Amino acid sequence: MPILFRQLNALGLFTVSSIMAFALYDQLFANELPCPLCLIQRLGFSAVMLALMLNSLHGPKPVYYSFATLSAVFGSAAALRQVSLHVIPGTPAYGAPLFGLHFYTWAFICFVIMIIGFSIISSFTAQYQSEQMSRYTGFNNQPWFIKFSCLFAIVILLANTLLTFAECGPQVCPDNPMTYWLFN
Amino acid sequence: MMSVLFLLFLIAAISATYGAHKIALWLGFINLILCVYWLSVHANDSLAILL
Repeated sequence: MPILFRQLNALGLFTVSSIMAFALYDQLFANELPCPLCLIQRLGFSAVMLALMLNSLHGPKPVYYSFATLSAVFGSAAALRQVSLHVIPGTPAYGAPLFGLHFYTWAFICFVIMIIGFSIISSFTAQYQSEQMSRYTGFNNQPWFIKFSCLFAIVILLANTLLTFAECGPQVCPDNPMTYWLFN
Repeated sequence: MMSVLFLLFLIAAISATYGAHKIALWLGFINLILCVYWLSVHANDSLAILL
């Protein structure tokens, strides 16, 4: 039972990392450069990933769930801003749709699901009561799935850091990026 | 500039794997505030959605 909530958080971390990995795949292989609002939504996903990583490595704590919920609220606000921007008649959508919906709409749906999920899972008080849950035993002593999820998340964060620098450089990102700043 | 925000989350994630959960959490919270500021730079009306 105590390890179940850590594993659940690791599963959530793997899922969010996979969403980010798909966005990176689309950026690299479909050559669709993310706009500033898209990057801000990715930052929201990154913050959620950090909270889930803390929950799975150090044991679930209410403060980690609060951080995860706040991050998802932030990400949903950025996604909703972009949805409202493109819903105006005469304003073309940004990027190619996936299953009929654009990436920012999917991002909004994902953030709303996360907010609901964190609200439900954080209400199980049994996960906070075990002393064993809150003790950090070192990264090497973690179960393989938690280690794999954390390493996957770190690789995704590193790739996002490098690609965002390549796209925008040290300045404010262009509204409609066409090429990478670094390779210009 | 935005890559710095990703970099801070990366540092926080690496700190979490090394057991520095307090540093990771504080860095995460501070970075989230910076993200809200950056959101207001790119789309100031999105703060109305957030609030």
